[in-house]
Amino acid sequence: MTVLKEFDTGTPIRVAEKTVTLAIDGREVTVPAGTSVMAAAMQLGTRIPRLCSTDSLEPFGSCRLCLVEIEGRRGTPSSCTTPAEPGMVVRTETDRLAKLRRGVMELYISDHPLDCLTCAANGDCELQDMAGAVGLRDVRYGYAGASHLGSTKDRSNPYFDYDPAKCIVCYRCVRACEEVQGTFALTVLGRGFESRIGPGGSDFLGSECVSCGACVQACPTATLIEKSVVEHGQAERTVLTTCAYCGVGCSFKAELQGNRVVRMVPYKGGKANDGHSCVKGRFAWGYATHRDRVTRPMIRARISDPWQEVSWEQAIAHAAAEFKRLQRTYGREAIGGITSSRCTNEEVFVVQKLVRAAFRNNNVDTCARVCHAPTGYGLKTTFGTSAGTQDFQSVEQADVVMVIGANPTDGHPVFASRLKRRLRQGARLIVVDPRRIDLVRGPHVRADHHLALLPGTNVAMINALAHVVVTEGLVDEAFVRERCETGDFELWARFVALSENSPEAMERFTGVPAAEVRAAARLYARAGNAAIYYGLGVTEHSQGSTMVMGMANLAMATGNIGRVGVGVNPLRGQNNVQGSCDMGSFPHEYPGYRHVSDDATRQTFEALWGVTLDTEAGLRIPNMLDEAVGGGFKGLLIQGEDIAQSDPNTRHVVAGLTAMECVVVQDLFLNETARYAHIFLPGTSFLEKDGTFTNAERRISRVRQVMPPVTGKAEWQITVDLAQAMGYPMAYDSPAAIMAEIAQLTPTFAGVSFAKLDELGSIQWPCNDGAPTGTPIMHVDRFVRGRGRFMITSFVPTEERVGPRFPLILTTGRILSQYNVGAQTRRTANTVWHPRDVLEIHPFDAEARGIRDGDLVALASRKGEIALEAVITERMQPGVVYTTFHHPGTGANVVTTEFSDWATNCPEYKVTAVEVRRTNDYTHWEVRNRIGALDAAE
Amino acid sequence: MTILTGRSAIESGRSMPPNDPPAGVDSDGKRLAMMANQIALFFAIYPTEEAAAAVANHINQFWGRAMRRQFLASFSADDPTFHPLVARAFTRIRPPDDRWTVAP
Ligand code: SF4
Ligand code: SF4
Ligand code: SF4
Ligand code: FES
Repeated sequence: MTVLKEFDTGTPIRVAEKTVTLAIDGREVTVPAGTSVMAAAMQLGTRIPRLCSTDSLEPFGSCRLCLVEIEGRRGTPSSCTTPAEPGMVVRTETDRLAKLRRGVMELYISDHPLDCLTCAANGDCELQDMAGAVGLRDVRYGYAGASHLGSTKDRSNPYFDYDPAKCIVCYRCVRACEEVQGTFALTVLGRGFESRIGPGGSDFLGSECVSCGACVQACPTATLIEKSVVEHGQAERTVLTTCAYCGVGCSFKAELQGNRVVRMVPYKGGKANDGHSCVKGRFAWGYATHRDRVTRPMIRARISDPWQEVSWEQAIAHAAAEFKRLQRTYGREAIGGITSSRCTNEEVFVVQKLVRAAFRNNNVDTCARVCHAPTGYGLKTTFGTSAGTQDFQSVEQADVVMVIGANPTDGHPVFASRLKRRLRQGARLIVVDPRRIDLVRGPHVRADHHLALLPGTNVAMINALAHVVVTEGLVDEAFVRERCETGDFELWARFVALSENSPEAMERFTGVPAAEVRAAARLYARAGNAAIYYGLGVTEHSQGSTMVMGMANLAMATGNIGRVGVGVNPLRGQNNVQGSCDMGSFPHEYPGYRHVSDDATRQTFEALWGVTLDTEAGLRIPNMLDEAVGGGFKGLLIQGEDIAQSDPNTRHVVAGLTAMECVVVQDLFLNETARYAHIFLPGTSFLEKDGTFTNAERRISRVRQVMPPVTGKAEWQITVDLAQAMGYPMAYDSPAAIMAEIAQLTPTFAGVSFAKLDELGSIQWPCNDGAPTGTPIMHVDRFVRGRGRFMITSFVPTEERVGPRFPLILTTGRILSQYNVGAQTRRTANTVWHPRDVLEIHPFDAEARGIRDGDLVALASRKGEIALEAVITERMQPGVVYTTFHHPGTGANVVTTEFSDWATNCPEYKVTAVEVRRTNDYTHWEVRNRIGALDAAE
Repeated sequence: MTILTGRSAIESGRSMPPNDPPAGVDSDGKRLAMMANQIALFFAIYPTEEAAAAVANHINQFWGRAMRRQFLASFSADDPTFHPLVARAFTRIRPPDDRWTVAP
């Protein structure tokens, strides 16, 4: 395969019902009204020379290269800014135009270094292409005049360089930063000949730039260019694949020389991202070949012994023998497995099958337990399916967007860019979050309401919003009558109408002025199209599932379900959280969210798998650990998860792990959990995987192998071998065969196959006879469960209370440049933006404790104590402090408690009572910090 | 407490168990009782009969065999720490099917 160059129509093709027909160079073409002459010409295959336009950006009309002649019009208008009109007669190639274009190119080239042969963009430069296209042969002006050839480069960004000498001031980068990314980091400094692009007076690293790379992608020259291209040169082939970081699931072109990645470029045809990306997916892939990668299996008898490298055969035989011994000695339920949201659907499917069919119990759980399990429970109970209702594109038709407990600009950046674009077009925004996230007030974006509630009071807030809807006559009665269980609605309506649920009564819990809540409720209910997007700030609470149901209630009551522009949408943390849940990773559910006690479902699995299956739910992660400490649970297979770092109350996790006799860890790196492991099976990075990921919009996308596994074994193969060694053969020859079995067993996946994915690009489940190409919007004519079900959501304050000893509330989150426990991003240059975790604290709380910015502080909860650096900021409200959990040295989960969601045991990460004080105790801090620095220096 | 972390600690092959005694051991089932009470609080707003059935159903559907075994062994229906709904639901909690506990 060669390098994939995508078709660029120059300016966007408009969406319009009306079409216009015009003639270009004697041929007729019909395009949607509003489409430019340039894009219309591209439909005929006529590429009018151009420099300042590309179809991801609005036309700008600055380069004057795209001139055309139009019958009946004077002069030579630029085709990029001229809309096609009915009956227009256009000529794109005349002697006059050729001369004019050559003249324009001459001016550009006279101020451009002529080092094409040694330029990193050689072969991938639009300026070069255009010089060829217009037939430029000499430059009359000479090269002696004033030029920018001596300008200094800005190499401050770790991933791309800026060389002003090569800039043609086409504004594509500036517009990309504004229109595509929505950051507005770039401006044009100076005027006329003097004008130069710059990141607001500083260098790129010190600026507002979030390193998304949109400007680099938009730049037609080598002015903005990836360092990896400068170092390695141009790619020779492309593989289409999917980002392995967050739940947006961006589609990428991996551009390669042999098996070496030269750069990752977001794929325009990718429906999750439409050609955009964030810093993680585009640039932070270096971890995949990091020298810390373990590539050989290892075993040891005790966790205090050094590791010993062994062959795959030995490692797998040893693991199988250990698991069998544990079951013989301690019983069938003494072992289990944890699947990973970072692995492919196929890899996850075979692990849960291993547990159910070879271990013969249901002790399988997934890290989604600690993030979106309440989403599954809450949306299944109310709507009938455990997934978000919309595709990402839907937000482009939302009139009011309510963001609850999510921080999209950091957690889901590419979705945030889409959202910001919609907000710039005039959609209104409500933010429900204890912290003043960037969306509340950003460049050209401002929330109408920021409901800055106290952590742990989400349900109080949603009930107050619902109270307003019900008592002020804002219910969409027709929708409720036609689509929902009316008895449940009436119970619910009576409940939320109680005065105890009014914004005035709830104010004492939430801390948010009642008037603000009322105004927000009215805005949402009267929106036309109102959409809810939420994140872990909803789920990671003791009432996480209640809150998910509360949001579903609100959406149903206002009729905001079942069409484009509305819905209830979880923003999923890890790339394949949705997929790992879909694939049957929960101890009570088979793939497709069907309970293990459901006889009909179980029998289909039993028939195909040839074994009788356990009829009862297995253990969840926290219960596995409890059982381990109690002595009944002895062996665990952990696929690509770091529970010792990511799960709550580290001490409890460690106690559980150390109590087991055989812990098998399958991962890229020796993570924290591996310290308690007896067997280490090296895993593969996304570049080595072949399979599928499913993103937060239920979109199944292909992950294609870019290079063979450096470990010598694909991860699905490890599981298949282990099953075989335990006496349960699984006959797959490829991940495609695994998907075929998934489709055979799972009604919502019935129509999915690798072949169809290759044909359609991606598919949103359900995909079956009723929806052969997938389902972008769910619950359109009816809910999956039939009628929507309102659930009563009483507010129950968390057990975790502040008091004199622990007067502050700690809440946790993530930031843009790092990902989850950071195992990958810490092994990339992304550390320049986030070298360590810090504690954010309001000036008022800081002052009361004599804490200054940058001080080392001790953060203590009832569970433990850690030390980290304080950052004083008004983003926080008084009484609430905030930290991230990207670095193991911080051990943020040393302080979080084991309180959890009532329905799913999803831990309550978002609320911990703490105290903060200055400390001089550098002992632990120093150790951590030194290790942190070592990590960062790699 | 101290948890040493980082590459050096890992690579040396040494493990650093925590200094403190293990936390969160649920030998007396208190955690399970707390979880059951939490479930009861959600359903408490529904009519008593419906709510008790929902609590029992939730536990039967989502709690693994080992959890139910321990819960039933550690408490009786009249335990003073129980929410009244847990007390009512208690006898409807399905005892684990112990045929499944022997090795396959
Ligand atoms: S990398 Fe992204 S944020 Fe930074 S200047 Fe370019 S477009 Fe703007
Ligand atoms: S840096 Fe590139 S995209 Fe930006 S104005 Fe210069 S040439 Fe155009
Ligand atoms: S991390 Fe998320 S937003 Fe960023 S490129 Fe990857 S999938 Fe897209
Ligand atoms: S492409 Fe039309 S003016 Fe530059």
